[in-house]
Amino acid sequence: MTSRKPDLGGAAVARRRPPLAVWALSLLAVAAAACGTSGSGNSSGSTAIASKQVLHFPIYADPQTMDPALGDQEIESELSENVFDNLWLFDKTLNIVPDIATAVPTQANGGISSDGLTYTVHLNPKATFNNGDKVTSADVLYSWNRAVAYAGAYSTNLAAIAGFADVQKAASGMTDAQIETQLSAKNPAFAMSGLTAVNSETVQVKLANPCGWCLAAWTLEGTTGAVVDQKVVSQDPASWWHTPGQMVGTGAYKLTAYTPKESMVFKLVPNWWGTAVGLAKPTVSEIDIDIHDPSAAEKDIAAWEQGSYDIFGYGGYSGLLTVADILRIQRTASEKSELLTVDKGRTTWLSFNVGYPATGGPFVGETAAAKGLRLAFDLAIDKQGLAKTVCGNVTCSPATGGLITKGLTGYLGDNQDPLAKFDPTQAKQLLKEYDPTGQLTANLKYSYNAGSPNDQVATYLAEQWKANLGVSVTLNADPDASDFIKNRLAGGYVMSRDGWQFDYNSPQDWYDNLWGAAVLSAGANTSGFDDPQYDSILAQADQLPTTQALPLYNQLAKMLSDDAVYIPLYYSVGNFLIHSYVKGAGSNTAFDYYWDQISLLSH
Amino acid sequence: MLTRGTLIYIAKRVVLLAFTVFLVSSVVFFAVHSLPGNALISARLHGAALQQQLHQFGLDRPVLVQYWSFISNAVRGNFGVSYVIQGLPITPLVIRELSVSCELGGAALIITVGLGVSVGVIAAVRHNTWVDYILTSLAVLGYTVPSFVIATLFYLVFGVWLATLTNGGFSYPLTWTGTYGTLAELSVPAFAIGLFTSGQVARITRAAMLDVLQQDYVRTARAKGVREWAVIIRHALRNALVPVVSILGPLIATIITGVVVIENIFSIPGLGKEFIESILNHDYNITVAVFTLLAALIGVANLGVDLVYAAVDPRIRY
Amino acid sequence: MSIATEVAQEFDAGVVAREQVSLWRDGWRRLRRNRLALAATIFLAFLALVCVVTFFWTPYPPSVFVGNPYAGPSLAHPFGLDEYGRDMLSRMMVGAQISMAVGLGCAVIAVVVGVSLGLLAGYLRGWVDSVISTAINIFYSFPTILMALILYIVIGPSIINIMVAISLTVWMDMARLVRGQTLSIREREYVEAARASGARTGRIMLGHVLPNSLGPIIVQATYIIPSAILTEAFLSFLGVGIPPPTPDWGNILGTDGLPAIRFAPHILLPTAILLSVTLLAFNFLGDGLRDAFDPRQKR
Repeated sequence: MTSRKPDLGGAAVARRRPPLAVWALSLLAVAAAACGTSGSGNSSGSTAIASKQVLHFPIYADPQTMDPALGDQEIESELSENVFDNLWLFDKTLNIVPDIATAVPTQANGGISSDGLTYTVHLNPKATFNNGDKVTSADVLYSWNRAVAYAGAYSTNLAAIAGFADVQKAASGMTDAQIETQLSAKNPAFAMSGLTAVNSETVQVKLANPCGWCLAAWTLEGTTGAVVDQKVVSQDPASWWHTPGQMVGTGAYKLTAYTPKESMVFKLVPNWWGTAVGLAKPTVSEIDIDIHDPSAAEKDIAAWEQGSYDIFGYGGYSGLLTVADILRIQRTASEKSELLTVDKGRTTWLSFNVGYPATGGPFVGETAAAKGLRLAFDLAIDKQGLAKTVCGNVTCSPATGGLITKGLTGYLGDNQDPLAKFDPTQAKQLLKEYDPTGQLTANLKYSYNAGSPNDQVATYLAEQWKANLGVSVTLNADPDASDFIKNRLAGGYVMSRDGWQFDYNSPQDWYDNLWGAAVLSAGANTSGFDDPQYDSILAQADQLPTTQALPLYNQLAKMLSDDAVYIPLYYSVGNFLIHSYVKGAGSNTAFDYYWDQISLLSH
Repeated sequence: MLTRGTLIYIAKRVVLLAFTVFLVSSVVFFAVHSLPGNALISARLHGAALQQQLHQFGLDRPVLVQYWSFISNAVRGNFGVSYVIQGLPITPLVIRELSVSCELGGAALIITVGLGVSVGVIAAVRHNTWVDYILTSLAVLGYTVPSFVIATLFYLVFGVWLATLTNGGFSYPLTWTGTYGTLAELSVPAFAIGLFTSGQVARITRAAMLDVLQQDYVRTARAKGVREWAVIIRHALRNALVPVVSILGPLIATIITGVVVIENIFSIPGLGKEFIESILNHDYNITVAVFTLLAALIGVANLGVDLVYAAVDPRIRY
Repeated sequence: MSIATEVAQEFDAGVVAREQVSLWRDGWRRLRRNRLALAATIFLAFLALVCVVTFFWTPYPPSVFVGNPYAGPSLAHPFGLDEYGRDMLSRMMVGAQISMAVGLGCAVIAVVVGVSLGLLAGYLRGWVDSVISTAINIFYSFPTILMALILYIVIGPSIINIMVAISLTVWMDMARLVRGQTLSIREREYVEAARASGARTGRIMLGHVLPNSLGPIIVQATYIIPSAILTEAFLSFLGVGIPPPTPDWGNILGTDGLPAIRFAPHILLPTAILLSVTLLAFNFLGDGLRDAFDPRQKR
């Protein structure tokens, strides 16, 4: 195109003005450059850390206790893990690394004796409680003996240590205060014989039998393996754990304020002795936690989206995001990358009453008919359809690799569980063969604790049995969860919802706590499944280190699935919302990443 | 006004109040302890471990021993510790929640009386006009439709539709920040309660005003040239309020019930929410404490109403 | 005094002669004229019909999965489906049954208890009256919810317990009303005459006092029903009333409707409106009956 040439005078060469397209492109380039540098949360531009290092997130119940000896719920350990340390800890990939101990004992480094019965542990001389007291082996002895005496839910983590049963017997029937008195008086009946202090920085643990899972159990964060300060605890055994200043541990953070049912504040321990993984030292100085009612979850998600919260889902609440929420967030460009999806070590299945004749039902026992009917009911369920219908495939995934959740040791592999198949034809055949008149399966009930997603799962199961077998199963929802669990553990239901959240990464955690003679006599065996072969293989496997024990544990898995003791349903999938300026936050199958690894970028 | 007779009356009522609170507390205590021993919800507890925890909380002592220890602690203001949040002292918790409920109930009361009386007066003054018909109909709707239905509708309108309409630009805050919330956050729940009760107040005020406006002394005041609004407010309203005060007692009971329900809908951390939560969680120590406080609150409120009644109606003498 | 006497007086006053009518005929005539009350009665009759029909038939079984959860209203399902794929219309019908049953049941209990105690207090007076009046005052100071919850804790939720609990909170109005009526009626001449002629107390109470208070009693009973329904609904709403799978209006609102309010308001709205209209209907009917039986109102 031509245009009037400007009169440049002089020796100006007549120049053509650049075409419009070039102008447009250069404008675009300038704009792009400008947008690129102007910061908004998602841009990779800013790497400077924020001046205000305060982490803010909501939780949905007060912890019932944060005393490591007694805690048994996820919210409790997710908080305690930042305040208390064990001798070792799990890193992000669930490997065991030293914490208060200086090394992980193995046979190679002499930490474990050749017969596998004696562990020698050296303590880090720098280890200090957040009130300034130094950690000595006396504290380790006190903490572990106390945990055993209190007989909390996880005291069995220490069960392999010699003298465990004696201490539990001596302490039975006593109140916490009475136990503290005995421990302060150094009553030898309250000290496990196998736990001794070689010197003020060395502890020796003697086991009654070799134990392949013990190290993992002692490392379980926020529970009985944790080290507490005797001076503080013995003063106020009931309330020390929720009183700021008295919740004393060796972790990087300490409780500075607690308004029950409202909020909690933790602050960084000045000059903390430990090392933060991946950072020079812990960066986040304060953690503000709001305690809300679960019905407020939706509002809090909206609040997260507006930036009032940094993280959503920490504290064991990765299951709160609904399918609708997740799908919406996945469609929102700015939020999509801030959604973290993690397999959570939790499996849900249906247990048949196999071993309680008094409860009745057509599934009891090992006759061909009972087994056939169990298999029929199992094959009639479309597990893929279940995960899709109930969780949209985002909050759960079908359990196709056995009952141990994907991502944990003992997972059989995708689609390796024969019970995960869906075969309505064979199901109908089995039903016709073993219950031709329909009499045996006429009055079946499926029992579960009411709530989401159990209700939807139950509805789906009933619908499947109706459609694929022609059998009507009544749904029996118990609105009282603890009531339901009590009845279930006592073997009171013919078909019940069952599930397990793993504690530490060892198949022993599953096979020893759900089936077999030991758990049957402890009154916690839902299906009543017990078999002498199962028990003997289990006992053998428990004594071997996990890698050697694995083939034996897998044999147990095969026994259970051959016997159709369960119907596998789904693995839980956790979903977290973490803003991109929160570096180092996240979660693995077991726990939320520690606060001492988090730093907040400016935003 | 504060005669000897009044003081004796107050004293009598306080005694009756203490007696009622004691009665309620005891009934609930025994009701709760008549349940099978398992008041603890940790699902892993059974058998010996359960017995240990029962012993820990002193729940395996004979009921009368527990009752005595409960009473002797309660009169000193110590309601014990929670069964669920181990070792947590109950008294500071419920006192704090009581203050939140009082805040909500007080706001609802202000709306009840303020809105109800205003609507009633306007309807009476504009008797038999379309204003009257509309206001009366609204009042009828107000006192028939249950407060929890109103509350859920408010939630729907303000929490959901408003946000959708303005594309998330404007939504009424339905959260509750801190212990006492903000004024904006208080208004919706308070209205949800107050609308229901203000309907009744409006109805009675209107009827009373209509009655009073016919009276001779009102006509006299008008004849004397007193301005209309002064006639209404100073002469008529004063007397019309007497019947309103007479229903204030049951009205406060209704407001308290409303507070319980609304706190549960809007997740307000008050005594009403704690009430239901403690029952559903089996945290029965807290349940007994809440019942006791509620009974005391109702008794005090009723006593207050009676005294106001005496102040307003010169014919009442104790 | 009876309507007949009243009419006679008007006749004496020179008003155009009117036929002698009984309380009931006159009341019914007045009620028919009150359009609001009439509409209310028709609606309630329809609701009662629905309740009866529900015993035999509902469009779909109320607790069974019949379609996609949260489905909106459609031809097959006029009120849509709830979060478990259950038909809302069927659930609302069963809920109507429960609400009406509780409402009527409580009214019956409250009438029986309240009338008996009111008669005794008003007629016998003295210490009987003092005891009953104190009891009335104590019960007045308890909000319903406290009492219902005590029973819930001890006995557990069931429809009978809830009826008992609610009746305990509504009998006082009836007792007070009957007491007042009795106190005034017992002074009438025909009662004195009956006493003088040696009739027994019971006979006097039931034969003379009660029939003459029937009007106000009926009106009060009509007001008790919506009170009872409302109380039962909000107990269920909170989760401490009729236990879940059973579809009761309160449950539908609280357990099913409220959590789904953001994306499926069709679960909450129809039931909320239905509940409100039912309560309104009973209130209008009560107002209508009260006006119909009120001897002071001119025709």
